[in-house]
Amino acid sequence: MNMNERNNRLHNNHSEISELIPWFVKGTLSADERKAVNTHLKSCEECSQSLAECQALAQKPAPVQTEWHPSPAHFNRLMSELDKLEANEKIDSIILSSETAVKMQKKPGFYQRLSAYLSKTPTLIRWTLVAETFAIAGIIGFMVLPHQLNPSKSTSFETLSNVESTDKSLATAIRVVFDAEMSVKEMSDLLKETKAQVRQGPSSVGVFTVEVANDNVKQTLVTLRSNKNVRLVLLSDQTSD
Amino acid sequence: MNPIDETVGIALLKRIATKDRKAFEEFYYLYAQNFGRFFMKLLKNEDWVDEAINDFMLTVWQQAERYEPEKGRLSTWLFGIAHNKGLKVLERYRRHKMESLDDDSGEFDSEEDEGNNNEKTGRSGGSNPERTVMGWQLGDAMAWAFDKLSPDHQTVIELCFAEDFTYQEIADITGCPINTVKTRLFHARKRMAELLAKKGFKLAASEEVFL
Repeated sequence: MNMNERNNRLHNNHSEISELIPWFVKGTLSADERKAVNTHLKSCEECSQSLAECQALAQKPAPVQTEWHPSPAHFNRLMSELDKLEANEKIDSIILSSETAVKMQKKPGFYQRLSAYLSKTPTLIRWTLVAETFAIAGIIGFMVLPHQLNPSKSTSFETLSNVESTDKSLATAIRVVFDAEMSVKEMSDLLKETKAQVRQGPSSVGVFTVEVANDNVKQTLVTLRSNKNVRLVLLSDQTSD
Repeated sequence: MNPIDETVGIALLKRIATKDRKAFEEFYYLYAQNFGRFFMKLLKNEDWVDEAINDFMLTVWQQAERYEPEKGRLSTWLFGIAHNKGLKVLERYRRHKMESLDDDSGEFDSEEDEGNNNEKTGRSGGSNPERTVMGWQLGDAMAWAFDKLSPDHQTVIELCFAEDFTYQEIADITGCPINTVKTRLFHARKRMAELLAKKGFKLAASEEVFL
């Protein structure tokens, strides 16, 4: 509400004006309030009567029937009360601090107790305890986090070709027997060329089982059979699992 | 209340905050008379006023450092303490007061005593139903009517008419909303006028105030 709205409301509100009259008489209203009261008084008989009452109260406030006077005797009593108050405050402070000290003595915290225990323990035993603590923490960590410590465990096996595993549902198994004189490098190069991957082998009779993608079977068979170091190439009856 | 230079009071209060007992003594002799009068109107018993002044002064001693001049006048802060202590003492002795004071022994306590009352106030206008009286003659009647008010009504009348506080300051002192202060004073003076009217008095206006 802005000042003008408030002033308009004041001009029109008899009850608000009548409540302001005491302060109007005492001269402690704002200029706007004073103006509003003055205007209202000219047209309101009831408020004029209130004004008369307030003027009388202001001019002759209720008299004190018995005066009270300060005295040295009263001041001395006051100071003795003050001394008592300060003495009590000191006692309270002492009690509070001693209670706090007693509480701390009665109930030392975990770290305080640990510190006290360690301070009484010989150095050798202290270091032994530290080593044991680390060892126990390590064992617990190993048990709780096995996969993080041995990430390769999830891998089932590795082959010489070490290529990405073929989607087994789309792979075909081929049994191959390599010449005994064939070197590992030659065998590896051949498998890379045919995009084949060793699944099993060699068996007791030297048979390797390799797998290739279904759409690459024919080409693989041709390549393998044309190689002089390959003794046998046989398409397996079963596809891989 | 006799006006006291606020700057003197604030300077003393700063020293009191440092637990300067000499400053406390100066403060006592500067303010005790005025607050003794305020308490006397509320409590009407010298022993109770002694106690209220003690409580008031001890609180000033303890809380002097909390006064912040930028938040309001020192007198407002002091009256806030005094109002609180006065009501506490009044509450403490209310039962005792009820037992020890005989309400019927007052000067104007009943309609039947009106003849006696007029005699005591030096008037013989019993046949005149409404008199407009100013000055000391009205004083006793006003004191009687004032005594009949509740402590809350007495306080607000005293703070407005005798101590010249604004309604905002009275709200700060009493811890009430401004509208409560205005309404309370309205009802207090209305009640006072009714009491005086019963005794045949009418409060009169003075022309110089009406601007």
